[in-house]
Amino acid sequence: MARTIPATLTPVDPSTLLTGEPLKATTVAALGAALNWSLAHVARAPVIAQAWAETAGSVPCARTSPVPATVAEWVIPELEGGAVVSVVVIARVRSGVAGSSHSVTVQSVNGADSFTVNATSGLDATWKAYTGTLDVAWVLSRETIRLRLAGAANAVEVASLLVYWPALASLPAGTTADGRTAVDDGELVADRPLSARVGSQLYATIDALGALPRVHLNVSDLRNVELANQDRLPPYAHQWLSPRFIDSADRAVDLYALVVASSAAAGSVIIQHSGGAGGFSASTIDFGALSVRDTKTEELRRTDRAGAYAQDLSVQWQAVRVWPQPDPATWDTLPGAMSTVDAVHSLMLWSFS
Amino acid sequence: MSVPYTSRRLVPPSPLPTQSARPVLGQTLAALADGINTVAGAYARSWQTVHVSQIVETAAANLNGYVHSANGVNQSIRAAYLVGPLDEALQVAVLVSSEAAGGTSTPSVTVQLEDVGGSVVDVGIKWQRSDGSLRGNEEERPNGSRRLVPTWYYSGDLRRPGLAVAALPSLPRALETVASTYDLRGAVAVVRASTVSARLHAVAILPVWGQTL
Repeated sequence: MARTIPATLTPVDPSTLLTGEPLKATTVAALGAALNWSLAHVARAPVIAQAWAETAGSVPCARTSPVPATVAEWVIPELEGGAVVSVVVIARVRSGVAGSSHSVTVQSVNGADSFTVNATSGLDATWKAYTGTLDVAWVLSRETIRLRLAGAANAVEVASLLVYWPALASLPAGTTADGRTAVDDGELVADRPLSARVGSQLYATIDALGALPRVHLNVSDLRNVELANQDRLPPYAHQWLSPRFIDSADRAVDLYALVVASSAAAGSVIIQHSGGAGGFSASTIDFGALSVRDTKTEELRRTDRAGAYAQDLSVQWQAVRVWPQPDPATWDTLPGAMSTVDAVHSLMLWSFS
Repeated sequence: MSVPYTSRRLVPPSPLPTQSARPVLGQTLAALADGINTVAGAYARSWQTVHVSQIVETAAANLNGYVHSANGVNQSIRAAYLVGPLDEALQVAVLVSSEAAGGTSTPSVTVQLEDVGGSVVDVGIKWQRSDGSLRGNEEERPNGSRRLVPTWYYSGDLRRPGLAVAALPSLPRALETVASTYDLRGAVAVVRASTVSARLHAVAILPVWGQTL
């Protein structure tokens, strides 16, 4: 049985389905159509979104060496049933023309797939967006995405990378492990009974769609680039905003954080999390001595404070802040809530919708 | 059709009303419709926070835990952005460090929306110190010098579609994804930011959810 995805969403007016209203085939069938549309589109979301600022004609994500090397690396969380991500990379060569050694490659480690941009793809001295796809696979519910560059005397540069789950082109048969079930064509019409099975599937699907994983932030440092010492977040108070849905009020955890850090002596990364304008709560992630790119995760639990910035639907901004420490010898005052590890390399924040 | 969808949170519904031997009530069907509308209206959207990486300073004098300078620093940022299929307008927040006074030029940040081919869809919005929308944030240092603190500035969700196709960027407002002959809904767009004497550290983008589907 086919499971058609409508081209557009036609919302269903609940009042047309209330007791006393005639059950029309067009109204009941619209439930299934709206659900299938949602199944195709709700999971469509970014998992990596990072940009590098261009100052005085160059960006820090640049490589001159013709030998390909990994310059940035991100972890993404598993989406049940997700097997392919879409990629958009904005790149150029700094000047002149692209030679045979210039390349920009986005690579999935577990999925063993790659998407490459080079002179054949049209790489030249103009900023352009290039799109592709990557197969992904899951090891411990994670996949690693790498950005690899190879340049020449004229550096290859990347201004932005976007990796996202595409909208589904077709809906799978049966029920996914997280409870989503598509509606078969003709399954919901007025002259067929709304069986207990179908009703339960609709409920379970609505529930599962409201709890899909969402990546709010994904940041990587840079290695093997033109400039040295880019392998950490600069030592100032970084902040990131994302929406906090009202649903999250029912949950103990607002966000999950994955942090990669290094430290010669034992230290900590302090992640400050604001559910509200009244201030930040802090979570401390400890790293042992001699840590080298160690990965740790942390739950950022909700606070009772109101959101920082009210939105429609009671969706609120929430903020996360990380303040890497500079060389202690350069402090003139000691700012509060500063991390004490030597380097914070990357940070990923995600939630379940 | 324009159907209001509620601001109620998505409550996981009970499967009890759909169990065998219970009558199928209009209330059950209406609740399913409400749930599906809420899922689509609230979650078939797109949002992202784009981290904008700056060069890591290595000069000891600049490693004081703050942004050391923005005066004369003019930047350009191109960030690919996934527009949701229902998202007709976007709210933008920018994390910026700039000076509150002085400097060789007046700090400003302009954000516009383009398609991936570089065509301008919304001419954009502008925060600038001269009109008070980019006030800057500095702390005094013990030696009398100042240091910069990154600060968020918000566009808000007010829509003024006509300004999307104006000649110049306007005061902060929501950016339009459907303007002139362009329709970015469901497509990848490019959020293009340019600064004068300001450093941009992050761009957060949320849809304007609205109240109806």
